[in-house]
Amino acid sequence: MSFSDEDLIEACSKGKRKAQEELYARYSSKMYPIALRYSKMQQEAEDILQEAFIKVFKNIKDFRKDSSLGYWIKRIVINTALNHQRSKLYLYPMVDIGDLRNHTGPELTLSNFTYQELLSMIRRLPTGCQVIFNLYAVEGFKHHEIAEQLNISEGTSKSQYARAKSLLKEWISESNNIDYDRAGEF
Amino acid sequence: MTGRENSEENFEKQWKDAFDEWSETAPNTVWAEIDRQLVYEDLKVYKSKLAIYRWVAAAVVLLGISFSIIQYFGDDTVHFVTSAAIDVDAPNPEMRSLIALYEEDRAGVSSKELTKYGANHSSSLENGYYDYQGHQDDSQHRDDYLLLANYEMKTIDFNDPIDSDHEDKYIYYLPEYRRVAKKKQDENERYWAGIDVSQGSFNPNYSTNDNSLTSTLGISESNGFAQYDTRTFNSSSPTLRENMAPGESISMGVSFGMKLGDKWTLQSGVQYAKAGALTETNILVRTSTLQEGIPVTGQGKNVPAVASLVANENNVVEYDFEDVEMSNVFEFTSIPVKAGYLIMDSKFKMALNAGVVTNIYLGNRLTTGDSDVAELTIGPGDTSPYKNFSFSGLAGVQFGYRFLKRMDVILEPNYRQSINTLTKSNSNFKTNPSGFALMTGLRYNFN
Repeated sequence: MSFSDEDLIEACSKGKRKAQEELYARYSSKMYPIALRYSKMQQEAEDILQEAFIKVFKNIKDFRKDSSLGYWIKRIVINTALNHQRSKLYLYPMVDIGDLRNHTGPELTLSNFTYQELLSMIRRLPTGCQVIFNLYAVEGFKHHEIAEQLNISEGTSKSQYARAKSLLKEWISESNNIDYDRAGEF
Repeated sequence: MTGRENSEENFEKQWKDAFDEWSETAPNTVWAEIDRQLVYEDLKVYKSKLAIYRWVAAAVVLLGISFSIIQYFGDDTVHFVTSAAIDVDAPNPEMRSLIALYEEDRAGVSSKELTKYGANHSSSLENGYYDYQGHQDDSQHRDDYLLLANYEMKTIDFNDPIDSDHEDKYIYYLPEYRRVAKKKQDENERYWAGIDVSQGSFNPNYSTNDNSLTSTLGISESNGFAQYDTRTFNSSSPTLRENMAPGESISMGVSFGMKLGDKWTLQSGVQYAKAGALTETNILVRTSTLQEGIPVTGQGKNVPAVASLVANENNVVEYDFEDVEMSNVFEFTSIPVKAGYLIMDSKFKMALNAGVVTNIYLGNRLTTGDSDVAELTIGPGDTSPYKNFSFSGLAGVQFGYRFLKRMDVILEPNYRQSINTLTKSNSNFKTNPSGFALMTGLRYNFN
């Protein structure tokens, strides 16, 4: 039997375990990758997902329905992930913003990479860069919004992002060159 | 927009697109841990409810004790204003006595003695007057204090100074605050009967060391048992997680009792009690003959309908890994026998009660709101995991208040703890129930 989101919300508000399990089954597979993107290790991602869904079930009676349930859960997962990372975050301006504008290079494509490879690259980033790259590039937050969320300056957010982007481009280029080199061997 | 900016935006868009469509199933252990935490949270809610019960019981006891002390040690305060004017130029003997008494009273003789003295002499007094204002129980005070009933009356106006002319002629009785001893209950009332209802917590204190599906429900592979759900288990003997979480209890019944001397009481009665718990299991057994799944619980092991299904080799049995929560309602007939020690026995009563309750098991029923899960009804008898008779200790503080001529309302916070286990020795689990309860009722007293 399939429940609508409204039915699930109502049943979860009453603490019905079956509904909670159904809601978890419906959304966890979309939320787990988010937790993976904000963590360094799988166990950490599982902890984030678990903690986030506990918060979802505790607070679902306060869900105001002014956004979709999926978006609301996603925000909880992201906030939980940020809380996990907060103790590790030492955010400071890393490069001169002016330098970024001079950065040039060939246009890079990600189509040659699998999800796991992309995830590995994001996880290789320093924690601050990883968080800000996720928030800016993937989640679509503006730098001033990130600055507000993390209580940092907008400049710090921009410079951390620039550093993340620079590293990612470097790794992507290296991977592409390796691929090209390998292709040339045959 | 420049080509470079386009390139930068394209870079971010590629990352966003790559992850937007990505979904990945989290390991089953994540939900198992969430489930465990949710159960723990439920338990915390129960514990907080239990804490509220305890605080309410403690508050009732404290209020009761405070009220009792005030009632017992502090008599009613009566604002009694008396003024008397007596012609002292030619006092007769009674008047002289009264004047003398007044002087004594001022010197420390209690007002109670004054009352007695005055009452004895009121009929022969002349040319006096009085006024009084009794603020409590007028009829009683009128009997006690009509000492100068036939005399000229005058109310003292405290706003006016007393005329110096009257100093020689009048005795003024100024306002007095008297304490009047409380009226005692009829000491001939030695028996009572009443009705009561009770509500409280019920903790089954469940424990088991058995986590095997085979031994819990008596099924085995030789009966055709096969794996059904591959999500978590890869074994034909999955680990069973069964638990019985606390719930609430209600009871109602009749009681009767008697006084044994001035301080001791003995009471008994008959009560019908329902005690609720939450039985949790993680496995449903499915058979070829029953549409609903049978929740795996040690309580259902020997239930004839279940036993015949799982013991039949022709009946294909599978299991389904599914967390199931069942409302588990026990029914008992209880016979309490309590001895009580009366701390107070007036309009307000307080007694410490302790005794033994004999619980006659009537049955229990496990239900869910899910039509996919079979309901289990377990009656008393040989196949039941529960004893027909079990015993609990009971202790409580009982408060009573006389609100009608012979009727008391009573309130008793109490605690019950089983003396022996509710389950039989051959059951694969144990329960030793305990719980707090708040009993209230009405009691009719007679001789």
